[in-house]
Amino acid sequence: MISTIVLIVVVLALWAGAWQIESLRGRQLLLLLGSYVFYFWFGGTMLAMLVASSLVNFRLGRLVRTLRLEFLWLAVGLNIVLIAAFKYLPPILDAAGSPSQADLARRIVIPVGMSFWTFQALSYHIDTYLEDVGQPSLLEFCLYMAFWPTVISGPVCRLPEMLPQFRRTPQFSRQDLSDGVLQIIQGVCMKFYLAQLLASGWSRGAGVTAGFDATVGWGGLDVWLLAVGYGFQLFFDFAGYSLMVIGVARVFGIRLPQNFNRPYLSLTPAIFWTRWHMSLSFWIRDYVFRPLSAMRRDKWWLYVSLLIAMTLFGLWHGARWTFMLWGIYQGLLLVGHRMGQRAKKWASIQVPPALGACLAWATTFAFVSLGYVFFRASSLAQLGTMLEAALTPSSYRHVVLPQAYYQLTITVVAGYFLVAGGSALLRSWRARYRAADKSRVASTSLIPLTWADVPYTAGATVDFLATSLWWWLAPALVTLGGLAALATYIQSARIATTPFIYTLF
Amino acid sequence: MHRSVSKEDTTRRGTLARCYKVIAIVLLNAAIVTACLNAVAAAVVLLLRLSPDTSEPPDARSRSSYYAGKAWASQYWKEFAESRREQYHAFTVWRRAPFKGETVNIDARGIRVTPGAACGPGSFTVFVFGSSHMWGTGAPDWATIPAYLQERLAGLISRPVCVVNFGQSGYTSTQSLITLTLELQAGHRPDVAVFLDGAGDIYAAYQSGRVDVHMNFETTSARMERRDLPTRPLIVQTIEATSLFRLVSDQIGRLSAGTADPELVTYESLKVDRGPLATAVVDAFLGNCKMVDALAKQYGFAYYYFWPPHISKGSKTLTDEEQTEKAAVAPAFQRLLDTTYQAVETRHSGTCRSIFFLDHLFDRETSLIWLDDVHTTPVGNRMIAEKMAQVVQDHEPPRVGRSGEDDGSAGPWRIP
Repeated sequence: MISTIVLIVVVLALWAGAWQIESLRGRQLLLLLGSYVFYFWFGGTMLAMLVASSLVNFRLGRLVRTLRLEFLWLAVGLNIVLIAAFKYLPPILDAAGSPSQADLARRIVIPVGMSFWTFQALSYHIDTYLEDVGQPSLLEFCLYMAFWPTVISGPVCRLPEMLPQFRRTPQFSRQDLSDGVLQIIQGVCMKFYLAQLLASGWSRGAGVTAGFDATVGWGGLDVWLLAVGYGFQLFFDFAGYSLMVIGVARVFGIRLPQNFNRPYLSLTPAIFWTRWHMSLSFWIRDYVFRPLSAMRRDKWWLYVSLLIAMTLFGLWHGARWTFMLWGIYQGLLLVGHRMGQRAKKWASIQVPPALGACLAWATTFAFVSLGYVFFRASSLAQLGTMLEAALTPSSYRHVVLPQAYYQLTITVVAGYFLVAGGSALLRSWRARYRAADKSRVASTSLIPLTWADVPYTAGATVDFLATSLWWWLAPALVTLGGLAALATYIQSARIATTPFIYTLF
Repeated sequence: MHRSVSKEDTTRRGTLARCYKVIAIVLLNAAIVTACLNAVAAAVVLLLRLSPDTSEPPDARSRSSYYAGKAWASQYWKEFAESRREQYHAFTVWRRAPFKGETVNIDARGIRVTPGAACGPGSFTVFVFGSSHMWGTGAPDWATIPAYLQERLAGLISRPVCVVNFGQSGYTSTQSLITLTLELQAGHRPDVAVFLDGAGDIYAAYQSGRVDVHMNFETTSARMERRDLPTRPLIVQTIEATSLFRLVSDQIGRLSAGTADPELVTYESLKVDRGPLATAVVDAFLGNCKMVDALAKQYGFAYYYFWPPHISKGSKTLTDEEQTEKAAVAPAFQRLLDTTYQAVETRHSGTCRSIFFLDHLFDRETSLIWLDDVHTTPVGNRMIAEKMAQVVQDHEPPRVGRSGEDDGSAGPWRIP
């Protein structure tokens, strides 16, 4: 823990130092050094792999720039072979069964974030071939590949977005600092509190992890709640992480692409996939689905392309049947949605818009959530058992998960929608208040006199809190941070005694 | 000159005033924000207190397929959780607190009730000792080992039978011996004493790396010596008393508890050699047996030791559930258990002749017997009790008086 903090402080110091350097090359060099120091923490071999991949891809990029297709295939092929060797060979060898192969499989360790930086290299080659994406120097390309906030788990960036930012003269902006810190705080709360809480449960053994790994004989309702709970755990974990990464970069004036955009409010699976893990989803769309679907004009081929793209999306997560089935399931959802849209037009079904929206949201939410059973199941047997429970009416008669799990999941999910809806409402009230304050057409008194005044009073409060944000948020953070540190210290400083294993008996 | 100094003074004063203003605002803000947060935390704490207590997860054993369709099962596990409260007990450190339920009943002395026990003058009295297995973890009052022993002996013996369950969760053979001594000291002499000891001894050694202690010695002594409650400065104590701190601390505790199991301190982590430790466990166990032997001769009762079965011993074909339980046994514990079993089997004959091994009792049983690695279902409990009754019957109590002389009686057994 301490070494992690020291590492982050060193990297931040290097970056802060880089921002003071006038020379572009000097600045980029220090930024790259900071990124490599960060990556070196995971191991020298891994850093060597990243550097080698950057050098080779830079050279390949130069060749691809000659617009010869064979060079593009070479670049794409090499990257795919490399990632496949690390990501898919160990499980294949392990499954092969022979001890020597299994031993070899165990010794192959995939470099951290390889899936992300290899995809960045691939997008660079394809973009270079198809259009002019600017010519990065070796330093800039290495920085693009190793950019420390994104090198571990994305978002998957594109060179045209990053290159101008690497070349820009940095300017300190209070707005960037404020926005960045807010995103980091939001990310920390989502990843380290909400995701963790859902995983471990309000009480021990009453979380998603125990629900999947230490439970048998699920009822239908259990499976649904586990699917929803895991979906939200994954969302809070990854969206929280992405927000932290985006926030850190933002503090230094670098804007990274958004990775999640309120996906659970989507009305269709197609919209969902434009809001969930957006950087990867758009990558698959641009570099897999679109080229594939452009190969033929037939409707059926469009569906096949969707299925292939989503299957690859699933396999990107790892060489497991459950991931592949999850990808196929998501592909089928997208195909089903497109076919449904066509059928709706053909049958000219008319539904009141509000009811239609509600139905569309509920259907999307249910199907997307059920998909997480595929993603999370530890084996095909478990997946089969859970799906059987979800699809068998009689299994809804019993529940095996503790009541505490139901309470927690329902509270967190309801809380999320309440916050999402509430914040939109408050933003609109604030806008109304500002407009009213400007034109002085409505009462903006502190205490609402009539029901009509409520939005203005609430809007005024939100406006006050937003404009004086750091005056109240900073003391609150310092207080909470101090108390959390004290509580952590007290809990960790408790006398180390043998655990009270009496409870085993 | 004079005027310019005055100007500087004014500027300095202005700067100081501005700094003071900013600090004052920040401090006031901090106070207001902290007060607001504390008020919110107080409301949350109050709300959480009002909600049902869900801090204890259900016992994993309650999910055993054995309990499917057993009407009493959910009530039993509820009462099992409620009855886990211990109270301090002289010399043996703990005993269960009195409890009255439908499936679990513990009397005022902390002794689990044996249904049907006819205790009184002239009864054939059997004291049973041991740890949680003998106490009856996983079984309602009527399905514990002592309950089945009572039922079986009542059918075999012509006198009223009184089986008293002195088993307590976590007890070692030394605590069983002390319990027996205290009973004898109080004038309660059994006809037969039955011990199901050994598992607790191994657990205590596994946990502490030594044999001269009871289970959870470190935790108990830390509480006794107040090492678990280090004194803190008044300011920290004041902060600790606030609702906000309690809420933050509670959340951190929950999150850290959920991330990973704390690493168990075991004899291996304490760098204690397994071989000598296992030898010491067996020495202590056989030493206790020897003392019981001496007491039996002095007070005139028969005694039998039963070395407990374990899921990893014997050759029972394990069900899938049992296989899972067996796989969950901590490797360090399993290694110590294996070494101890081996040692006790080779060394008991010289010191403790009235010892019976139950390792192969379930060999021909194919149904679910094990709830975890040491506790058995009521089916297993019945089999153990029947074996005990058979041993008691086969090895007639020595017809000795209190002074150790032959009393000339025909024994208590029903003659067919």
